[in-house]
Amino acid sequence: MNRRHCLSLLTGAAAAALGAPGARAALGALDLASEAAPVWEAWKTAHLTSDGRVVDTFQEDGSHSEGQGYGMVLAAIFEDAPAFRRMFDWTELNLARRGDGLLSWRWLPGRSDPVPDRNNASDGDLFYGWALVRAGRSFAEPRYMTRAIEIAEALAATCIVTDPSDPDRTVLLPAVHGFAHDGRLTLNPSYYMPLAMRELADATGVQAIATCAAHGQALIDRVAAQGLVPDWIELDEDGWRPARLFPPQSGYEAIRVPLFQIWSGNAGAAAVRAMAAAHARAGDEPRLVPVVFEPDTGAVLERSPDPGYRALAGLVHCARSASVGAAIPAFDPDQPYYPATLQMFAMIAANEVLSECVPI
Amino acid sequence: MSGQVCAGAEWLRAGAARACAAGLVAAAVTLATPAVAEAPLIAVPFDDDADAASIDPGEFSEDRFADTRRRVADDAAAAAPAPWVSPLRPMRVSSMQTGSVWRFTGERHSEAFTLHVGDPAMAGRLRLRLMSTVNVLPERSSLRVQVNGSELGEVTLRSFTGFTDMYLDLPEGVLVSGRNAVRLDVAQHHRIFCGPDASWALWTELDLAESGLEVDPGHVTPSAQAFLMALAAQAASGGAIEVRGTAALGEARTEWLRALTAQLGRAMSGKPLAFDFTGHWTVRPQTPARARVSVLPGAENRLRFVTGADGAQVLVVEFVPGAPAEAMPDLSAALPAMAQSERPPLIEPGREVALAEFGVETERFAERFARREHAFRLPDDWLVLTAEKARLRLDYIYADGLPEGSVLVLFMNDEPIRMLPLWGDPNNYITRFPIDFEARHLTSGTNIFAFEVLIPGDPPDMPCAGARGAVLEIAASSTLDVPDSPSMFLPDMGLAFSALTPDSLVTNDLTHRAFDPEDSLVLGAALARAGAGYRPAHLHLMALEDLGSVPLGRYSVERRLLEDVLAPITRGMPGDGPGAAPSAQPDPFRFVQEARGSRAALVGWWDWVMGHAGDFLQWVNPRTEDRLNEWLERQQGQAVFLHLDHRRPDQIWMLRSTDADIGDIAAAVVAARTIGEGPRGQVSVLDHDGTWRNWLAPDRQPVMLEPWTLANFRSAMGNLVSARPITFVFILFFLTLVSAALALRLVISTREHDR
Repeated sequence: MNRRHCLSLLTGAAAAALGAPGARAALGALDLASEAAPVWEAWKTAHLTSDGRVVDTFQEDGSHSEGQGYGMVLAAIFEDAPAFRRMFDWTELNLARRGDGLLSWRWLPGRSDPVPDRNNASDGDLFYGWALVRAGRSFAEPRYMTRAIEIAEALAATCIVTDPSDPDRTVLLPAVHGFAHDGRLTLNPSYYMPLAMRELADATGVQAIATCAAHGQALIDRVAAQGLVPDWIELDEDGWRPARLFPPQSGYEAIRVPLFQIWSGNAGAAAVRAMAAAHARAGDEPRLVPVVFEPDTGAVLERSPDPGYRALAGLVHCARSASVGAAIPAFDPDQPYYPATLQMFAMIAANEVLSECVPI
Repeated sequence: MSGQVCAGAEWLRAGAARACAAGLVAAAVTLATPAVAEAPLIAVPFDDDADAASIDPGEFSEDRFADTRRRVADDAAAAAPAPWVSPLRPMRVSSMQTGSVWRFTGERHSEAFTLHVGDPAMAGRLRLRLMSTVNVLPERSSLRVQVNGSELGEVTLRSFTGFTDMYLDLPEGVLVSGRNAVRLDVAQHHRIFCGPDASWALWTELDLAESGLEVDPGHVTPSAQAFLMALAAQAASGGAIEVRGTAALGEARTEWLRALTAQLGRAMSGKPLAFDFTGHWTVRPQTPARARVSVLPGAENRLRFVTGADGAQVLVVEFVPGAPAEAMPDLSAALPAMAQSERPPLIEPGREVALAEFGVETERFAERFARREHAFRLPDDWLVLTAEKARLRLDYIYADGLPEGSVLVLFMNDEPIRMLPLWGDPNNYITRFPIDFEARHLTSGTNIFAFEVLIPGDPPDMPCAGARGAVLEIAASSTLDVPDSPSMFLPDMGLAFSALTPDSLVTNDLTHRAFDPEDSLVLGAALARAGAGYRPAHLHLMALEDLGSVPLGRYSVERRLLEDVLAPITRGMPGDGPGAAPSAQPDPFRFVQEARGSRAALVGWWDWVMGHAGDFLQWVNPRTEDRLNEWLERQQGQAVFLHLDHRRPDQIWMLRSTDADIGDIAAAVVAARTIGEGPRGQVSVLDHDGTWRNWLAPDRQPVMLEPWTLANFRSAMGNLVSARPITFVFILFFLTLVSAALALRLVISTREHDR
């Protein structure tokens, strides 16, 4: 255990011993549907069309299963049944074209064939299914749960495969096609959202997903023990390594890993500690927050002005800090879809798991 | 990009030449069957069957896996955080300020400001954003700046078409951490005319929000001083001060927030702060936040200063859950109150008091027009309604060569009491020149006397001659002698208004219909400044629906009239108002009116007689409820203050318009309590311009507050009689008639007896 690791653990212990528990008790989890309704309205106004399409301007104004799934999770948490139904209807109409229950990963406007690529994205499917589970409970719509079961079974059947390094474990492929080759798998650690996987499994009875979540957690812990989690990794019979076909970086993909760890109730995870340490090393710079790191050294490769990424940094720091309050900015509806949505997730994660990490 | 759209295993292997073929395959598969799980028509890092070594990752990674997330600040503008300004904050509340613009008027105008500085080393220059009227002659017009008593320099007033930034270097050591005193002296000359009219046409505006120190947010170290600096910037931007997370305070919320907002209000001079109480999770405001307060539960009650994720300076108030308000950390140490909280000085009646004793310095005038006001207070139980005189003994001198018509006018509470010519006896120090005026122009509480100088141009249609020195001096040794009075009180809300404190606010079950819970905090913060030092009065925050619970004493107020007074301002089309030109449409009632014929003349004559009889009776014995309702019919405003029951001298009831900004009302309250001219009498309407319009009941009777003695009888009786002289005249007249009748009867009866 190096000195930084030791210090971070001590800091975390101090947080638990001093202010955090009392603060958590006093703050409690808020009902975001009422307490943060303006934030949800701002997100919808900025990124959701009236017909239920979540627009990603950085992807040619297109939409994708990830965005639809993310938006529907938000709608379920904010108890916005009409918005949820619009997103669901649009997704079913435009992305549910594969026939196996999963969603095609992207829809592009203004094309004769708006879905030229039928492949799926398993994180989009996962969030879509999770949103349906939550909405099925909240909105009393049986068809949501029926569809969630279909998604869960399809994911388990097509995207959960045996870990080549350990036949007793399973992994989540990023898509049905294209990520397995000669016994070597390419994985995206940020596609694992343990809480979503557990809830989807519990609600649908597809326990393979919960099992895969547990195995994925262990995998991420092993990766994070070496430093920052890369965006993409390869897995073969010898174990994991950074994916050769992608830049060796921990960036816009892996930035979700500590977020999902915290949201899943694992704020002490190695991935969170590694990201907190990387931010601490990078130092603060007004308006710009580090988003892309070199995994081994922690060197900052890119910074971004988007508040959503700063919110993630604030949440990660707060998770490892002894103080109450987090350096999380107010929600900015003018930022692009992706950081805006991650900022929404940071708010939800803080509220559900680290209620002392409110923005100061 | 089309190649990427068509991306698939076939395309990846065969290259762009097969892109269309792949697209056709995709289309064919789509038509044939929706089940396309086997079709490898996807963008992938490598195909299951492909040789990874032959794949160029750059061709496909851009599409799904890489730069679509990127938004890197690749230009300097995005990378450099926008600087903001630590603004000049006026020391007083004044009508000279509109929004963030302060207007300097006349030939000379001096004003004091506060400049909050976190780190003196951070600023090298002072910025002034100015605009002047085109009447200003730039060659002889300037703005001189002093900082902490040091002369900083002056700038020429030459910005006529819009606000322009001007800079003055700040030598090292001039600024200190914390509050800095800045004095701006504006000298302006008219480019065409000379005289009072020309003086009134001169103005220069200073944009307060953009004048001060430029602050690089990246170099602000969190501290109490930095927070106050940011707080001033936040207030100057027109935005409310956000107070986050107050719900967690629980039952003690109101007490904590009352103490917090009161101290923040006391720490800032000028207009009172507005507050916005929010939850923790909010949407970014339109203008970037510079300062806010965040309330958080913690392990101890304490304050700390941090920089928020958005760059705002944040005062974090940590509290132990369940802690009472008394446990709140001492804010006054970190955010000390400003001296502007003081009320005007109190002078002692019955004694000749030098102006210097209540803070007036020797006044020197060099302008063609100038008005200088000074406030003082009389005891709250002082009352003179008789013709008794107060006396001002003036020590003054004026220069030779002033044109005929030059005058010094003295005002007491806006009543002109004497006009002194400024020609005929120049260069002679006139001492103890007696100026008697009726003491009833004075009131208990705050009074304002003013010197107004008017010197005609010589000639008036040419620019004034070159620089000259002072032409009039009024010495601080001048005295004011206010006659003593018995301890009496004339029912008036002025006393209760001056005694309001943050603890004075009273709410009931219906208050929420007109006031948000936070409104009382904003009002409380305003009342924390310039409060009286004795038992607090009460201010009841009322909804109009609850008018029935307002004690009205002997008066009556029609609810309909109050609704009209407080009706939101409607901005209709021109011609919609009551003063619109008569319509060209035929009047269907014309024939009814014309049909009255000669009978109308008789009816009209009778109405005239009855009307004047009613006026006469009102004069003799005023029926005040009629007068009050007539007065209310002519009012419109944002708030109404009622003080109608003289048996409750320490209570005021407040109603507000639904569209009134509580911040504007709070600003008017602060102004009224610091410079006077606030609510008086029984009913006061705060109009939409921030002016208090007062109704004083003509039949109100003085109340004796001390035992009747031979010594006070004459003065006290004089006040009683002076309060309603006509009534007493008619009582005496009636007694005279009765006496005469009795005497006549006596005479007649005596003669009958004799017969």
